[in-house]
Amino acid sequence: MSAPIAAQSRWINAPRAPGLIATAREVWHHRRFLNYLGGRTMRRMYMRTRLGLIWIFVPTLLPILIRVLVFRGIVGLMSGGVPYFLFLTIGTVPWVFFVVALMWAIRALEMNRGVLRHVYIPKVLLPIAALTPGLFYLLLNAVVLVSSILYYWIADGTPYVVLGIHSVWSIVALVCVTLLVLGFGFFLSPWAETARDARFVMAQVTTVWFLATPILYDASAVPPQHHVWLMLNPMASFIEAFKYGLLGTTPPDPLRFVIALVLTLTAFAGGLWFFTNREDDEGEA
Amino acid sequence: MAYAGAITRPKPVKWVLAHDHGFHAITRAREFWHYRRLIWFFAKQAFQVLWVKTHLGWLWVPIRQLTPILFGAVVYGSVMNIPSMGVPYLLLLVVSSLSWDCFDGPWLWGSRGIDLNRHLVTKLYFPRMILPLASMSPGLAGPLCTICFLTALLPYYRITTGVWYVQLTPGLLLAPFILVASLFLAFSLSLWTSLWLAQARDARYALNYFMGFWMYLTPVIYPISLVPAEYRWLMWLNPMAPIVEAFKASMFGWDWPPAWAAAAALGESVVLFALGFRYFHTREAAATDKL
Repeated sequence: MSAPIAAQSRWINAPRAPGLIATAREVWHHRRFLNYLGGRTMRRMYMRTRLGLIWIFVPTLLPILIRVLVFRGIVGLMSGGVPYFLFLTIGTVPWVFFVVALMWAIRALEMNRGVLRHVYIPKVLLPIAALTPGLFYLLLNAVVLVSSILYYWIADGTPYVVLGIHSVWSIVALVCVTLLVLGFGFFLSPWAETARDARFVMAQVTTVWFLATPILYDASAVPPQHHVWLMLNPMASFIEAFKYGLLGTTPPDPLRFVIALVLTLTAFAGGLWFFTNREDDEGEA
Repeated sequence: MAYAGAITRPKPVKWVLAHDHGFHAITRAREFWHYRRLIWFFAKQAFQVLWVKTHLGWLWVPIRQLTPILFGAVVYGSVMNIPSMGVPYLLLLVVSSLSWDCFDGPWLWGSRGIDLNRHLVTKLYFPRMILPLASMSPGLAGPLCTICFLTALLPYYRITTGVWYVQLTPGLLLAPFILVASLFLAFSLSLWTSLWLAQARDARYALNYFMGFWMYLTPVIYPISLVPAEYRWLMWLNPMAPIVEAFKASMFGWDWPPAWAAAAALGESVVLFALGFRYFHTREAAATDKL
């Protein structure tokens, strides 16, 4: 005999208590919405497209292959003992996660306006749920990465990737990237709700950002007069940390990593504060 | 007065509503000419889309155009150390981007021509070929900014390095024609893609992806001399490669691309245009019916 549903869950219609802890508790309470909202974002991604699922493969493997052809084959970049393909794939994993998650986190409020009109969902959940396509691409690129590691293991007899205690760095890097994405999402999604050009601006920004981040090239190739850019770019440190976690060669520069961490935590905390405050104001208006 | 003027208009325009007899190149071209005044209208309208509803207004145009060039110059030039054959890398990148952007921007905008004017296409008749042509106009804003930047950059390098990198030579006179060649290629291709974009939403994403790759496979960020000699013929088959290289040659007085490559690029553009013209006219009716 199971207890009646009414006895199991109690719904109270009351204004949300202010403060971070109340928000966190509320988010936890509504956690099951994440599944629904994430699925919605994924469906949105492939909606009204002709090629449908081919879109999964085109943006993963093809850019890597063409970049290898150009930057290794023509320009002749060095990647310090690791095959360039592997070097590029490792850098691509956190970067593509960052870009895709960022694009969708920024659109989170605009996309779910219809849902918000019908159901009460804490808005903080929306940018979090919009991480789904990013995580999906992370998985796809991880598959590419693992298969290329296996390929080089068989072809060259060495896996190049060394797992050990330093591999924690990779996980730390991915967590930091997630926090950075959420920070940006909290700040920018309210703006993107009204300004339709927001995502086109972001597309422009991320192409330049890609160049400024050591993915195609190694951070050690950057001449000293440009080191300030590496310092201001948190993604540079996170990608270095991710690479260190897998290859175990050069650990990330401690000063730069700390700066990146501080910038990221500030963006995350500030974004959360801005986002929840704005939500409260909106409720009163 | 205006009324009297209307009465005494010298040549009354005659409108004939007749059955469409299918594809006739000359009839189509004549009809296009008849409606030519619409080109300006659509071009102006498309141009305004660039900064309407943005906070910075027209300032976006130079920012959008020049930031990738400036960042690219630092990354490709001083981090990757791509050789630039005795010219400052920034200058090389500005010049090759100029010829590339005369292709890339106009093509992307021209392809969106029908899609952006959906509401008009479904309501009234005019030769639809006007749309891909006129909608190329916003794509010209970027190259114009680059030209301004280039004219400022040349005296700057004259002062700092004492060299005029671009000299007044007979070859320089060809430069505008080379830019027109890349515009022509852009138009030929948008005859195909503008119909695709009107039908499928992902055609635009596909085009954006494709353009990114095409730029890497064209000698824009690197000189063609970096490509191993045995594969160079393959690169010359890309119609944009001779155009970009010829533009650099005309600006810096370098070696011209081989004659066969230039002829191939020209032939490819003309064939793409002729087939595109036919494709567009045979498909436009069916495609616009489904909008």
